[in-house]
Amino acid sequence: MELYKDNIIDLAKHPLNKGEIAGATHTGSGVNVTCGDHVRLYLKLESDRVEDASWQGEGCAISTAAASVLTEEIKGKSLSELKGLEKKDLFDWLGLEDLGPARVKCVTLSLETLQGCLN
Amino acid sequence: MLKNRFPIFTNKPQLCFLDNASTTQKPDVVIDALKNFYENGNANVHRGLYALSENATENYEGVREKVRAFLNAKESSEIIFTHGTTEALNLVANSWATSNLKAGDEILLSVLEHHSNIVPWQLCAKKTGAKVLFTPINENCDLDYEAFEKMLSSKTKLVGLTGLSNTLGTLVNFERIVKSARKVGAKVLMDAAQLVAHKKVDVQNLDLDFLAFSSHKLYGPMGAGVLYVKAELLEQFEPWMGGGGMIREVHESHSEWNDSPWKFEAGTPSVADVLGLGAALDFLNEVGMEKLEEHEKKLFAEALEKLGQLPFVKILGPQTPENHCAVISFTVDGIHPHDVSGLLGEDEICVRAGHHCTMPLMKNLKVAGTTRISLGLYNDSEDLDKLCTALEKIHKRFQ
Repeated sequence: MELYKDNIIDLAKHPLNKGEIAGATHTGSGVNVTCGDHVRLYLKLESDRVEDASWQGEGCAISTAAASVLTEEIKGKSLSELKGLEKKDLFDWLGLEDLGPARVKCVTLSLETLQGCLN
Repeated sequence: MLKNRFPIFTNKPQLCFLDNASTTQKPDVVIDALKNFYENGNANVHRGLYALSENATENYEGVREKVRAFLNAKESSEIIFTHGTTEALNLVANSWATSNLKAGDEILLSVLEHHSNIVPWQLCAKKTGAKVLFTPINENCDLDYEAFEKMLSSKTKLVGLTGLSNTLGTLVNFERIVKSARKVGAKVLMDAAQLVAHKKVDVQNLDLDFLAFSSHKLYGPMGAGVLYVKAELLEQFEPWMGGGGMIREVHESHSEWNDSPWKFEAGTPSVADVLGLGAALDFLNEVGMEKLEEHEKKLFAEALEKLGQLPFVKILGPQTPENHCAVISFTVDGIHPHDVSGLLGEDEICVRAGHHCTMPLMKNLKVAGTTRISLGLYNDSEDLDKLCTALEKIHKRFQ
């Protein structure tokens, strides 16, 4: 399967929601020790609903695209919807099927970071 | 050169394999040796009193002699078979070092080292109280020999350095290293995992105490490795692993060890893989190490030149072929090394990306990772052209 589809490259070149948001209610950081990729997530929740979301960090095209779509798609979602998010949702948003063991962490880093900052 | 002797290139004609520092492809004779052992010669060594086992023992011991000749060691008893470089280095760290080091002693490594030549010494330091020190590199990414000489003292008991950096391709001048180390009475170990595949190494000429390498980075099978130990040191330390094969007598109260090198080879060895290593050494003799060196030297200069012509590629480490061979690490402007490697992989171009098991070196170079190509005897100009064309395509896609 082709991993580097045009949508992934476009998101790597023009990431969405990159930067810190003011008044974040939830933040969390995650690191992929093996490749050095790191992400910091910022969420602003109001009445248990995501008002705004953003991220900062550095990583490969896959992890940049994943952090971009994750922060985009969770806007407007409720806290319980966030808690119910699975790996598959992120893959669907990226238009990818499951990845091999070497690259799957590039996708799941931002999701795991999100789950971490909600707990 | 000789691509037709490596079946994988016939089976995968598009394969452009530039990750030889990680592992090499296998020539037909190596694959045949493995197949032949399991089809016609499979028996354990040093045990059975029947022809099949005796032949296996004879062939296994025959490879010890081939390795002796390959390294120009004095005696074949100086050659210990392990399962790879990592095990060989751990053997020295667990056996020689724990028998010979005490609190306050120093083990002198360098920031060029692979984790395999760092972590065993850190574990050893915990047990013995010895200290691990790292020689820095200079601005050209060569070992800083002056700093090395200043770090040596009567406390230095072991100098453990790579012969060739697996990340930058920097060659280490062991003539100079050994000469300096001898002045303080330190033993010298070479991690030759990379070097033996590219240059002739003569352990007597260099006067090395220990040398470790793996079969699989030298066109042989995975699962076999070698530790050379200078004869006079062999009786100065206890075995690390106990088990079958390494004993003469076992009593309830104590055991007596076998002679060297067998006392360091507990358990059933990887016989087939050792025989495969023997076939790889025969193959290299047939090719000729001089011819291999000449081919790789030319190709390496060509690789530096071709990559140097790509304005978006930044080569890390030495920029010229002097003191440098086989390995080139680089970054591509604005593109993560894993993406470079992943995209090259989609075109069947195999390179490595990341920290290359040299995290202290990455920290020194102030990068999280690099993309690395490493050459082997079968690579040619066509491989380099394919690489450069693909890099241009990738760079364009990210612009």
